[in-house]
Amino acid sequence: MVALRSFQCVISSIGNKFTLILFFMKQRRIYPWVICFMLLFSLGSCIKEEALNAEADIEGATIAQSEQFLKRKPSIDNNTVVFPLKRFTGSYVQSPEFVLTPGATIEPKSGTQLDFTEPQKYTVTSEDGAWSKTYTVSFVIDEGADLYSAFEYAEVVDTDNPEGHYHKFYELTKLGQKTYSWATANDGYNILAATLVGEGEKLVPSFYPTSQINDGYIGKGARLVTKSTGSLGGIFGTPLAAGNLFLGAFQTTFPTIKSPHFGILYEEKTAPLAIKGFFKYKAGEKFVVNNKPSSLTKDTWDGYALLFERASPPNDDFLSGDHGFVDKRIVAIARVGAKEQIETNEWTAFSLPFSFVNGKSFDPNKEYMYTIVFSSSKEGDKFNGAVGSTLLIDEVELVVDDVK
Amino acid sequence: MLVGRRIDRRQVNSYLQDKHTSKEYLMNRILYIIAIFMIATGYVQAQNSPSNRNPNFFNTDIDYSVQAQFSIGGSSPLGLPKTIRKIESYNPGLQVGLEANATKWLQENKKWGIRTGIRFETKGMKTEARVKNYLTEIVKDNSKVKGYYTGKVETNVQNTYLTLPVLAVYRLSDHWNLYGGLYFSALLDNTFDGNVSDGYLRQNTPVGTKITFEEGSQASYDFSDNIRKFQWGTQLGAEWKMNRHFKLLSDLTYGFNNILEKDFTSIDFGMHNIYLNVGFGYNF
Repeated sequence: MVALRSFQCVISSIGNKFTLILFFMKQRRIYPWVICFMLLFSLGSCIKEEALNAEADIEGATIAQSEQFLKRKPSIDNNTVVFPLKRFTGSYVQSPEFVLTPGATIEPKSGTQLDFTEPQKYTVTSEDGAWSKTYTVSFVIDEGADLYSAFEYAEVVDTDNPEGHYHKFYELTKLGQKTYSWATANDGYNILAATLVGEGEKLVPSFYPTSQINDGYIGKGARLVTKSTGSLGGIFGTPLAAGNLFLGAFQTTFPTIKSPHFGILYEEKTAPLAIKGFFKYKAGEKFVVNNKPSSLTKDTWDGYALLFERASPPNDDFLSGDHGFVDKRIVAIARVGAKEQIETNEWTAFSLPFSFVNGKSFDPNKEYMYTIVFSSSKEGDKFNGAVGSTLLIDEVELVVDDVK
Repeated sequence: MLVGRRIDRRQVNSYLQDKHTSKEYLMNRILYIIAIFMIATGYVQAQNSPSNRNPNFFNTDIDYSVQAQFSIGGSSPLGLPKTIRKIESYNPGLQVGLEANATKWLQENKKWGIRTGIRFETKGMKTEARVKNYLTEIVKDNSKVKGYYTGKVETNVQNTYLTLPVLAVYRLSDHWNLYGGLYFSALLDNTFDGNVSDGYLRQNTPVGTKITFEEGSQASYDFSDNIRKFQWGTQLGAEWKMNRHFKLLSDLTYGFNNILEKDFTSIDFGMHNIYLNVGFGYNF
């Protein structure tokens, strides 16, 4: 059918052209050449029938009475779907429904009742049948993020295409389920990581901008390093990658400043007072300014927390990386200053109080979100920084007044 | 002495300018080509002058001509692949060609002849297309990111060739000649680059990591070094003799080779040079 159509397309344009050549021979004028040419091009520009879709994504997921049972909408990435449940209802038997890439199919089928005591595997096959992808789907009782983060748990994400091995931090709920509140840009760095491994280096989690270290302030901790992205990074307009760690999610996007989706639900009844934690910092040797102007001559780190209002969909539940501290939704800010932005080889405590901005105050009846962000290069969002700048972070706490 | 020195300085200045402005450089290149034509013309006229009337191969039943052409066309796959969903814009740019050729008539009645010559020509275009699942590769210094791209692709092709046509000429009437045959091209100067934007790349496979490009953000690619150095193809056209000296001509050229090298896999379909050339010529 497709072949026939394109054949007709070619024949008709050849026919037209032939008529035009005859016309030209009679008229002996020049302008028919132009028309003739246009027909020549019509020969090449026969758009073929669209191919069947080759992608196999879960684009959306829900359950019946989601308003009643789900705390927020499920989080979906390239290989996992997590349904955050408000409370345990006695069983994990659920019948999740999925929205897929048009034409794709899923096995087990959408709406199939399964027991999610353990995460279940689903396979999505593309419309053209050539590609498939396995998703891990889980239901997690979401007790709200722990206000105290010790960075004790990290799993290694192994990717095949391209090859990659990097850390992803998680916490364990009281019921022993994994939740992922802290995000990093490792996912984005992984696009190029395999191409950046130099002599004597290995593609291991510590090669990535953000990784877990064994010697934190207490137990394990997090390490953030500003990395070069090599010559390919320049093509993508990302000459370096600052190590980062934040509460939210990361979705690889260019411009890269759009990649971090900052924010998780704030479920306390009073305003946060401060963030506390411990750090070590060593600036890299050569500070490079890729985007002028820069307020720095030497690299330094950044750490801040934002409390902001939840907005209406679709961008309701996050602030993107380009908030610039001036987004209208921001209610309160806590940020490191010159006192903390020092180089130190010893674990050093920091305590950063929140201050209200935009003339706002805390209203217990409103819905809020918050994020905590760390970066090994303060101007990493503008790609100004020094390769090798290293920030170690541990025992981070959001301080909230406990008076109920 | 004084006057002489002034002239010297002026010459030096103009030389420096020639070296330093690319426009002047281009002008020089064109002048250089014209000069070759003039010399060729002079040679031909000498051959044809009555004082040199010994009949030989080069002055019996042979026509010499110079011609100039504009070309419009593109480096296009034969029939667009399914991955190209829409051509949003096409700009042929200014493509010119200059040719000197000789036609040797094989019979007394000048019905059939053989033509060969030398042509200096540019072939190029700029296109903007919407693609879906278009296999591409971003390569630099031995590292590469490969994937299936859905979104906007801009392509810019600009190549310069030195071409040797070998054509059969058929005299249809006093005013019309048809000609056709083969051409052989050597690449002198090459550009094949562009960028992807407003879309997303699935890394390595259509189910790989999704990399989104939004708000005019783009990734550029450059395949200039992968253009095939030698091309051959076919040429078919007609010319209309206005009078003894002037003619108008038009032909189609179609390249048999993919314009990119054989072992090049970053684009999964072949592209051929397909051009319509329109020009005028002068017969001596």
